[in-house]
Amino acid sequence: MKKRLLMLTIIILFVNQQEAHGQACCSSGTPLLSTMELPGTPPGQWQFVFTYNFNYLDDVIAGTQRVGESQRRRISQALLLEISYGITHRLSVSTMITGIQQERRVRSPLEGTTGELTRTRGIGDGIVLMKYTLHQQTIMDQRELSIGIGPKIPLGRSQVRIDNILLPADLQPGTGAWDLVFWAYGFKGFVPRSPTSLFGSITYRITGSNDRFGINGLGYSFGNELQASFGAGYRTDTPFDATLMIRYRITGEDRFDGDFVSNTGGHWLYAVPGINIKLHELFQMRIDGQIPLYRNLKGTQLTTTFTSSVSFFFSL
Amino acid sequence: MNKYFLMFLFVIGVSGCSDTSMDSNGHDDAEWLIPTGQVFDGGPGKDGIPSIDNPIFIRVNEVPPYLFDDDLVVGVRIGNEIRAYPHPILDWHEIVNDEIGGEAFSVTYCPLTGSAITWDRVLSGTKTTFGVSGLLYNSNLIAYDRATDSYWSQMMMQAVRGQHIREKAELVTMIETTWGTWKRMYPGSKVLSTETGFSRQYGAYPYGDYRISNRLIFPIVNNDDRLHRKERVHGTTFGNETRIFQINEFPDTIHTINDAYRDYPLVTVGSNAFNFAVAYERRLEDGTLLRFTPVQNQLPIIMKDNEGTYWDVFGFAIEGPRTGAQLKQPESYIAYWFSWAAFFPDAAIHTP
Repeated sequence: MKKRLLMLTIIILFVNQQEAHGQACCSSGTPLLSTMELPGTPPGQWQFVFTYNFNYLDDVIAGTQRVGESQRRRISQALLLEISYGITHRLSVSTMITGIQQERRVRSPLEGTTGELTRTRGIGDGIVLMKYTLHQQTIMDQRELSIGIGPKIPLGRSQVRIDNILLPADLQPGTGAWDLVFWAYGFKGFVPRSPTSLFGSITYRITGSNDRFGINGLGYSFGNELQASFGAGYRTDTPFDATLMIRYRITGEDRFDGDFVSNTGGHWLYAVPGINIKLHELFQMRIDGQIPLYRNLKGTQLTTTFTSSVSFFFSL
Repeated sequence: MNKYFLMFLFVIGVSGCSDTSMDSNGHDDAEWLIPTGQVFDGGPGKDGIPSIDNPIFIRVNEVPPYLFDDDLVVGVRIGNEIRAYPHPILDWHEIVNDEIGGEAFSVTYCPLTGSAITWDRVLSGTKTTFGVSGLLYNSNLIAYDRATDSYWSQMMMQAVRGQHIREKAELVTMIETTWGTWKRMYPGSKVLSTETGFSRQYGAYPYGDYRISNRLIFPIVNNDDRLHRKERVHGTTFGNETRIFQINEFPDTIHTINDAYRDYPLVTVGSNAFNFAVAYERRLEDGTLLRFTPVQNQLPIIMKDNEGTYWDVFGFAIEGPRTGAQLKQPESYIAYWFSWAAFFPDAAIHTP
């Protein structure tokens, strides 16, 4: 146990002491909400989820249309650690801490030269959620319904500069703003009649405003965000289970000084296929990918081409 | 268990307060002429908005229907070659590196300040191209030259960082008007083609309602509410002094204003209906001081002088005793009011 905690500590320290990372406009940034998928935790039990997320952004979308090639490519890599502890049968608390690396590479118009590369790394924002289980799952009644609420805490920096020049909001490690997060999770199993189960989650984030420009009254805020995921799982007698999820995400437009910011906000629909691998009774691994099915974006935006992630779950 | 968990949380808390390091090969540490605290990375990065370096031109009658009569164009005339650069293309590229008859120049346009300025791209004898640095000062384009990586503030018309720091750009005479007016002035001219080598939605304005709303996307150093932020106004600068003419205050007919600003006798010509305003120096190199009166219904001729010479919108003498001569354009261009006020807080607005 001590070894495990020390290992996690070292990983987080490693993330911080390298370079940094960020909350991004619309499609990049720390995938906080999509990763908050642990259900309520039994009393006295600890659950840990450690996730590596890779987000590749190379699609330029105007409205619903893909508009040719991009001059730039973005890669966002995040490490997320979610820790949950069951306080009572119904009440549990989850915290998520993150580290993120963002990379922006622009093609050079000059042959034989490399384009601009901007990279930031660091601690991203975190979340603390109080979760309440409305309906607990039992062997006879395989249904679960939980809800939660909590703050998104601006642990990450939002005023990172290069040569004293402020980087854009979507390259910053954090948002610099306190947000309020609402969360709900549902599950329905059918064992032994069927190895299939259904599950879903909804998260909604009401965003606050930051002072990234350092000018009082000229606040910047990301758009509010809703994510709804619904999927099915299929259990096998092998260590491998399969899941397929549909995820819908909608974000409002960002605001600067109270006015909307162009080319922010939109709708995304993703397919999220995944495999769960039981490595041990208390230790699981999950690999999934996120593939865009439909996008309807405000203005023209560079957005996700695909996302993939690997998660490790274990309980104590 | 609890002890280790608390220790873990403590480490996370401390880590969150630590500094972040980063690297970039885009902008190195160097002296700037403007406060870097007011320079912002716009998001796309250096060359993330690609300049057009191999422009292709078509005839006016070959332009596809993406361009409407009230869309704006930048016009350049060098010798008898006349070219238009539509805003709907410039919105996506901001810079066109072009050449006419051996004269290499860059048409620069900033969609956020609505300012178009054309300047020579031969620097210290070296022909170069300009690109979009991805940085903004007062919401305005900072271009960079690819020969020395010097950074040029468009509306200051000056290098603000790098080898050419403090050098002024050598301006090329240009005008700005609507496509409808341009077609009427120069139906036989050439127009920048949408065959740019890039796939973009040239009919779509990429900034939503930005050009008509009061909103900004980045902070500016001075806010002035004497006019609507996005009103397009013509300004002429002399050192630190600036004089502003509101295009929509010109009558629909062509109107000339002969006056002197400090030691420079100027004529400012404009029309609200034709949506243009230009300024020229009235004193010629031989010392002659001209006085101009407007000419109606003969576009592109817009005025004649007291000697009987007729002049076109580019300041070329078309008919009369000075045929072939060209008036000198002072440092002047059209931009949104808020950007004039941001760069030139003491700008004086001309009152008719």
